[in-house]
Amino acid sequence: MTRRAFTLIEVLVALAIGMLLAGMATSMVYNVWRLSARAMVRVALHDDAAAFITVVGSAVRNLHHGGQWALESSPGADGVWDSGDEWVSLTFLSANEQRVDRAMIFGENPRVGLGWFRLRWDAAKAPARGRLRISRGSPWRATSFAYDVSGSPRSASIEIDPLPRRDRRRPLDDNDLRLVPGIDAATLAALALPGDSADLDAQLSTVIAPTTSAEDFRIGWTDRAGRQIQWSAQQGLSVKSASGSTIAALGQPWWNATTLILDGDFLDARHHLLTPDTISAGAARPMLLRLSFTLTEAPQRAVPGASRAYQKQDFAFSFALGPDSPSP
Amino acid sequence: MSNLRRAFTFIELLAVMLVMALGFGAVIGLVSYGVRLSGEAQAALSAMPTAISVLEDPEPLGRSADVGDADGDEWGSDAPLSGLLGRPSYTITVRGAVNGYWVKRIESSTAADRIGSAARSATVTVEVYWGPKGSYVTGLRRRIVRRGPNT
Repeated sequence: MTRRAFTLIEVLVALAIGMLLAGMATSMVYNVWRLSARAMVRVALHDDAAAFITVVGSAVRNLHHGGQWALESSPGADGVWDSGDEWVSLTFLSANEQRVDRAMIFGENPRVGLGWFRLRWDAAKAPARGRLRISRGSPWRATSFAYDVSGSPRSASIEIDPLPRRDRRRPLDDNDLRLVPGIDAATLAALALPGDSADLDAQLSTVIAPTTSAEDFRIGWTDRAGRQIQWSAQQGLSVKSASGSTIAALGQPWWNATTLILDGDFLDARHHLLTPDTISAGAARPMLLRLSFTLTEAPQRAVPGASRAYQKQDFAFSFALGPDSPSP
Repeated sequence: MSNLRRAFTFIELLAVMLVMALGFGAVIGLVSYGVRLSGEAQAALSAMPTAISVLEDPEPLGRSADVGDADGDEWGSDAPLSGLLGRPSYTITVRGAVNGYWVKRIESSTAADRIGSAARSATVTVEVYWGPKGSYVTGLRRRIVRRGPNT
């Protein structure tokens, strides 16, 4: 048998092919690695968006048109839009889907099956980047207090349901406690019971992952009169007619540069105009809610040589807001 | 014994490299399949909500369904969306990118769908596609009622 070593050509060809294979493999593995990292983040972003629209969509589709609809916002302490400290909230009355969880007891003492819902976005980067939070009001709150009648001490308890309010002039924090029998101004002040708005603020919680940030949040709706209402951190609140012309705010507590609060429908669908409005409360009710936002997330897996930039995805969702009330 | 020992032949080396290449290919194929599965997971999360949203609203916030997408917001239509109640019949296609998908919305209404001068029925079909190859993800068809503004 004749033994011989590789020839130089054979070694060179083998090395070339080997290097070619190694290069191809490295490139492909790197690209697959990068793609899988991106895919993980993309799915996480869509997961966050799905969680958000599931919660918000559930509340919105159960909107109760008999209650207030309130958009409140602020340009922040500096009074300038698009400076990074704006916030906006949307509050409305919604039917409870999970009645047991919401403590609507099917017994001799049933509770109200409605609850306030609040969606709030803060542009502020601290403590969390672009916070997007939701809140459902407490099913009810209770407290006891003592009072005195002609030298005789008494005690009483107060239970507060998430009271439906139709009139936009009535603040959500007004729980009518002054009407409780036996209560006086000092006792009322000492109770310091939070109203529905304060209760909503106290229960705000985030619905997206802590690593995800919601940026460039926009909210808008079309009302039954065809008006387009829109809020953005860049421009604040704007109202346009069905033909597209800008409608100036009325300068009222319920409609000004930062706030737009709508009356709830009368239960008998009665038309209602409150001077100086020119559109009835029924026609001003929202018909289609629009939300848009950008979710950003840091790369979850370090890929050598890949960009460390945050991955972003724009989202836009619209929700039909239930049936109209028929005109009388 | 030494007579039986020999080095690898050139053909043997090439065969080993061929097997290695096949192995690399298989692994990369599997990972690519995983990436595709993640895309399907994404679709399971948000494709249908996107379809429902577009069905209810042909102009998602921040996008205008202008003819031919003249404003370049990746959302445009083949005919104006205004004045739909007054037309004898119409078929309008709105298409573009939203929520990471390519979405096509077709709304059609015939003369028989008119309900007086202030309302009409229409049939809306929404198709959602995903990925560089435009794979069909989901779709939806529903009858809607268009109404004029209420003052």
